[in-house]
Amino acid sequence: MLDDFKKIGSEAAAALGEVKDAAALEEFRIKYLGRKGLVTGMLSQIGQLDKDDRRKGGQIANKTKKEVTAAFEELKAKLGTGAKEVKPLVDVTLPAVDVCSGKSHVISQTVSELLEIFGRMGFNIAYGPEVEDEWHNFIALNIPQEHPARDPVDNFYIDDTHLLRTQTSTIQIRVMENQKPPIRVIAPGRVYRPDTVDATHMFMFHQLEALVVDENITMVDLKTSVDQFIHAFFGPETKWRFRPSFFPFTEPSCEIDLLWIDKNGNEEWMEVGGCGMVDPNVFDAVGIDSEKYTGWAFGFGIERLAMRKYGITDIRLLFENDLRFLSQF
Amino acid sequence: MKVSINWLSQYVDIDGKGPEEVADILSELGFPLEGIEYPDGDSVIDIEVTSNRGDCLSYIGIAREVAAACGAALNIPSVELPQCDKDISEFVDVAIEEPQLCARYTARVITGVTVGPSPDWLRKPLEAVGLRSVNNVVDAGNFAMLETGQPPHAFDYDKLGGKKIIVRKGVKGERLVSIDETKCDLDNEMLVIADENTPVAIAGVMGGLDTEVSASTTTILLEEACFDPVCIRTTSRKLTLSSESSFRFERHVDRENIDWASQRTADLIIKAAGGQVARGVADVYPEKIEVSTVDMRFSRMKKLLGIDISQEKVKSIFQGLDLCPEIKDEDIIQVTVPSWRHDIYREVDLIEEVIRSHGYGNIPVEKKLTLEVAAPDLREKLSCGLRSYLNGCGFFETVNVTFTDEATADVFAEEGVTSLSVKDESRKANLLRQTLLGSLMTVYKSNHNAGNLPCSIFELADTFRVSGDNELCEKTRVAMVSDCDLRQIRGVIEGVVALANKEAKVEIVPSSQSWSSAAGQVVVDGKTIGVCGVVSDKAAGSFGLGNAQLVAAELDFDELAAMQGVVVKVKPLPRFPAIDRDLSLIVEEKVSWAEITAAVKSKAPAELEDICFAGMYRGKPIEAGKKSVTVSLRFRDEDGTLRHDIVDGFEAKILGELKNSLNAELRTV
Repeated sequence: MLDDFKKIGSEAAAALGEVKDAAALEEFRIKYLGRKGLVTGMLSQIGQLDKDDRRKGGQIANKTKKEVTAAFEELKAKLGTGAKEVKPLVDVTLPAVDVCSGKSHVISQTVSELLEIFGRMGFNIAYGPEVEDEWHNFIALNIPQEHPARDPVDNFYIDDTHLLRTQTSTIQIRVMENQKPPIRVIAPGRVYRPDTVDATHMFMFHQLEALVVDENITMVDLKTSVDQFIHAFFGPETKWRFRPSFFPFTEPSCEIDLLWIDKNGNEEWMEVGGCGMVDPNVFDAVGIDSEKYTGWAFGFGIERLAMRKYGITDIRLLFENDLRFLSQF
Repeated sequence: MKVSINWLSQYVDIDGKGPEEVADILSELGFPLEGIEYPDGDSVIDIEVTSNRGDCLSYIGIAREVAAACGAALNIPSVELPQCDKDISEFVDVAIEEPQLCARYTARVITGVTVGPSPDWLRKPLEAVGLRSVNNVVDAGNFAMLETGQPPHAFDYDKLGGKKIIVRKGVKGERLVSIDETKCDLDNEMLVIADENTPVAIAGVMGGLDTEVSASTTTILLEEACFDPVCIRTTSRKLTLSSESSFRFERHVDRENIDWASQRTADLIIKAAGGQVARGVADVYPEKIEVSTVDMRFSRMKKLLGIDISQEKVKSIFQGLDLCPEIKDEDIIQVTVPSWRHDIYREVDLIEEVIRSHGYGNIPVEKKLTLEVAAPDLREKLSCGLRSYLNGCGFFETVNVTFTDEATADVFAEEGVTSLSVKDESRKANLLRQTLLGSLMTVYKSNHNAGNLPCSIFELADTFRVSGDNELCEKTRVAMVSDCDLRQIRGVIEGVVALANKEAKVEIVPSSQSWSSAAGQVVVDGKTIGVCGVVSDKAAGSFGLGNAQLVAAELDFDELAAMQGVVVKVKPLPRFPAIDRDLSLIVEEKVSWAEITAAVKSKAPAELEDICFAGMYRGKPIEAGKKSVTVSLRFRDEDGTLRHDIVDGFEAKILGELKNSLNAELRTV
């Protein structure tokens, strides 16, 4: 039997010598290397050998299989393959398969970016409810009963004393009521003002508010913080300025103007937000000693920033949520 | 406010400055430019005046600011009035019945006027700022108002009933037709000017048509007064009638200056229309305002601004603004607040005046901030993670308005839960959302119409409701709508929960929802935190999406946020091989996967590692009303290699229980 083993190797070598085409090669493969082929068969017959021959038989079988397979592969490569076996080419220029990932809304993206910058500046995030009482939305913010901003037609009142907040400054009050200085918070959120909807007006929009209260906080701190924030968000070359303004809850108060340069090099001052030193009346309202502590606050509209940054000309696009719009960010 | 540069230069020497330069100066002072126009031979800047600076709704007010900034002199016109022999008391008697609402009322009478077209000196400046010329008397009044900031009103004296002017509240039922021919129904919250018989003007808002100055007018009663800003505003709103006068009264006029403004208006009327004034003035001024002083500490100024500004500089700034400063001691400067500055009454208001004039540009920016490290915010961390995870699952984030309409709210209504609404009847959608699902269905519909399919969307926002004990409840939720299937959205939900807490167990417990044909509550570690389900045909139909196969889910974000903070305990990788057994069970249609797994678990050995759903089949050869469910069980012994014969025993026990409790048959074909 061991002799038969030896023969199979030489027979196979001879048979392979006769093979001239792919069809004959396939016949050879089935005869010798197939599942029931002669070479494959040797391995299953090892168990039937005499005990003494098994080791030797195993060696021969393995060696034969290795050699025949190698010779076969060599000839196969030489003969090439029949038309049936042509492998298709991979066309690397085909378009991508849609992997169906979604996108965050551009407003969230903008808010996240801002929160990250302020986070790096050491600010904690604060939140507040959208339905507010008059104390947090007006009274504590130094907006008295006779102030035009309190006119019912300019607010979304829920009942006699509750309304949808008109500014995120309400969160300032909530923070100062619950926390003693030092305070350093940033507060994002939705705000509401009845406005006729058009390309630049919406009755709901988003604001971001920052508040710092401590001993020895000055307008220099305010200006430095605004400067660092603007350069982090808009780029280190961005020019900006403070312009005097009026808000009930800060004194002195300023608008923050950014010098915007369009594609054609035209320069324009764009108002991005309001800021100022916390009004002593606001400190009185929340029981913080305005002689000991000073503070600054600033706030701005998110939509306005995003619209300017991405060239969005109609605010309504932000709230229509058409996937063709959302997928662009 | 529109400011003609030619006109402005009557009050302050602008030294040849162009409109842009003047606008720059004013912008630095807090009056930003809104536009520049160039009418014939003039230039007009349109500047914004903040609501606290009513005094700058006038040329003199603006000129005072420019003069202070440039160190120039302010030229206030001088007035000389030709008088007739008669005394004012022969013409009119003024009474104020509401001193709270009318702090001062003056009346002058001008006789012998000739109403006609305005001369050029009067007409041109008005036209330059966009005011139409009416006649010389009306134009003189408008000119005076723009110059002084004090709105006058001229009555045709001969049309007034009796020799009386009474400032009183309106009476319900009274009606006045105003100059612009609006029929105004008066009530007792409105302040009116009445003659002996009837109202002749809505105080501070608009005069009446009957007593208006016309071509035949020869004698004028000139009113200059001061009215309560809130009363003027509410009246103006109520009547939807506003005017240049009401705009100014709402922002405070200079009460002390009313007599001078009256003289100046008379002067302009006489210059334009001729005539003489009666001697004196009917001036009712029940309570004169006290002159007030305010102290400012230099030390406080430095503490707030962070910079030093010299005492001399501060004093000269205050002088420029007519604040009459006086240095009291080394730390205190005292000013006397002029009657036109209603916005100055505290120390901090003076500090603002200093820095406004000194220039915000002069505040330095430091190189670095001192800061403390803030801990990461868990809520923000979760919302960022959630957005990113849902994006990865193919969901687009949407931002929708908080309002919804009744029809949409009804589709998702829950029993015993009340919606909040805003008091705005003109708004069709005036309910605050109880759920975000309605908005998402609407967004799905618009994307469906646009052909943007497949479409998976979500929103993270607050919802509002009134609970049983009438408490307002505002909760942040995350909601999803998608055209994927229920098992996929379950996968998304489990992923969302895992973001908050990897160890949490999620169950979907069948429940009924008004909007769903097959719904479940999302229960995490025994607590319900949301719902999910297949949108019913009826609900989809109400959005015009009758044929769409949609699923929806909504989770309480506050609950998710509260779950955070669990640190994962890592399990070791298995060292021994597992044995998998697939069981195809024929069960009644009503038998749920949850029941099958419960039955399996009730007899499961410790070696049962996992139960997987491998598939479901209905149809031949399975008889109608039944289904075949394939359960894949994985067994593993942590301490050694399992043997098939042992697993056979586990399997038999489990099959026995499935048969007993659920009447499940093992499928053999």
